[in-house]
Amino acid sequence: MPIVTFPEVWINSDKLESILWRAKASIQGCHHIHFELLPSTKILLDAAVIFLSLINQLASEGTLISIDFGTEDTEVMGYLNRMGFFDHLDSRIIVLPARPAFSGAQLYNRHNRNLVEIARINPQEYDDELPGRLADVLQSKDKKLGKAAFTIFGELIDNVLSHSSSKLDAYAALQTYKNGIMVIVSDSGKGLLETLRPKLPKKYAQASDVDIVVEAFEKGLSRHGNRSGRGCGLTTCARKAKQFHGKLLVRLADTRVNLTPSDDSYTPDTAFCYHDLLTIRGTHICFDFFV
Amino acid sequence: MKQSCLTIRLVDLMKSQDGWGNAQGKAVGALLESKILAHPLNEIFQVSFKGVERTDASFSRESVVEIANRFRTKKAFIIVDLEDSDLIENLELAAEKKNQPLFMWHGDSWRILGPQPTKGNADLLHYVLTVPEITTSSASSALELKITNASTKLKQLWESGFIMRREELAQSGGIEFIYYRIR
Repeated sequence: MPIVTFPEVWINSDKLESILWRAKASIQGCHHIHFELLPSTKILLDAAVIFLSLINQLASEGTLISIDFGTEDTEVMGYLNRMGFFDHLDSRIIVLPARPAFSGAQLYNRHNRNLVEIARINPQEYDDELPGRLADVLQSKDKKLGKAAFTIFGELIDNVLSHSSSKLDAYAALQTYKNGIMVIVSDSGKGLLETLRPKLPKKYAQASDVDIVVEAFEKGLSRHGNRSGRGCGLTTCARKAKQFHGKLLVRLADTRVNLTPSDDSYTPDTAFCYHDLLTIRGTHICFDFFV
Repeated sequence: MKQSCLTIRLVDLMKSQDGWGNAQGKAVGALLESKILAHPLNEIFQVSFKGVERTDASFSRESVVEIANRFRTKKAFIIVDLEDSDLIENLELAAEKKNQPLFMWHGDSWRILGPQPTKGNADLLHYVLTVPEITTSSASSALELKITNASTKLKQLWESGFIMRREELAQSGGIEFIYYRIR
């Protein structure tokens, strides 16, 4: 049984990726994977949500997952509980020493102005007011920022509902912190490249993953073709995020693209792309912007 | 002939002041379409954004741009009561992607959201926007264009959704197209 240990440092999605990449060879195809989150581990929103999608995917495929926090009431467990991590965790996943006795997310239920509980997105049953509810957190601080966040959540959640085709839930979450805001939408369905690539014109046949991701966010690409008028969702998100110098992270099945705006646009020149990562199905899009 | 102009408040067709996504956009678009079809004699409609608080581009596309595109050359739309830069940006992105121009007027000044006229047609469009209506021959003499050239340009502007036209019986007995601005 492979043991994957989260070190006692801040873990953002970059750090999570390197932990999973190192463990990739030992955990792929295993029947039981054990994760250890040491008491002083600090996990950021993007890493927490992507980790949640990953382990729920593995559990749904029949892999036994256990997460060991060492002792109860550690800081990291409290934080994850506060954001609703355990509320959305597959019931087959073992939490050690035990799952929290109560849900911190339900206890605070929308009363924290800095962290919005992880919201579930399911095409069969979704909250019509979710983008507004998430954006309201920012709207009270900065109206323009709130409107930008509404657009970003609206488009990304709509993409999940339109394209993901997964039985697993997708998630949206938001956190504000000193000088910054992070928003993430993570689904476990078909990835952006899986849905786009087969439908793109021949001129994109040789295009790299980075080129397609950048094109999708900068100019708009649609599996319905250019004349359909669709494909403006990601472009709109990118345009709003750039107004706040937002960094963009797109995690796909085994690829990750990090984009930083340069001269008001995302370009392949300023992109970092990582290939051959541990497989995580779906599309996971995170904007990290400064205010 | 002065065209009558009906105002439709978008928020009256929405569930709340916020609109997002394809599904909500399509639902509002269907209501907008039925309002338009209920007024067959009206050719120009004002779509008012008064009361609309937040949108995204997909909602803007499905609720307004798609409907404008569907009725292109038959009915036209003017966007009014829209000053919020975020809402304008979302509508503009959708209009660009759908290649469907939408007019906004403030007094005598105007703004086109979405595609702009080609360089070759821009002067003629600007002229059409200053007069209530125009024929091929009057456009030809006003801008010193050959009749065939003026006719082609006006037709292109009409087909692209920048202007409207109606048919009238000419003194010669034939059909004459009267082109008019979307205002």
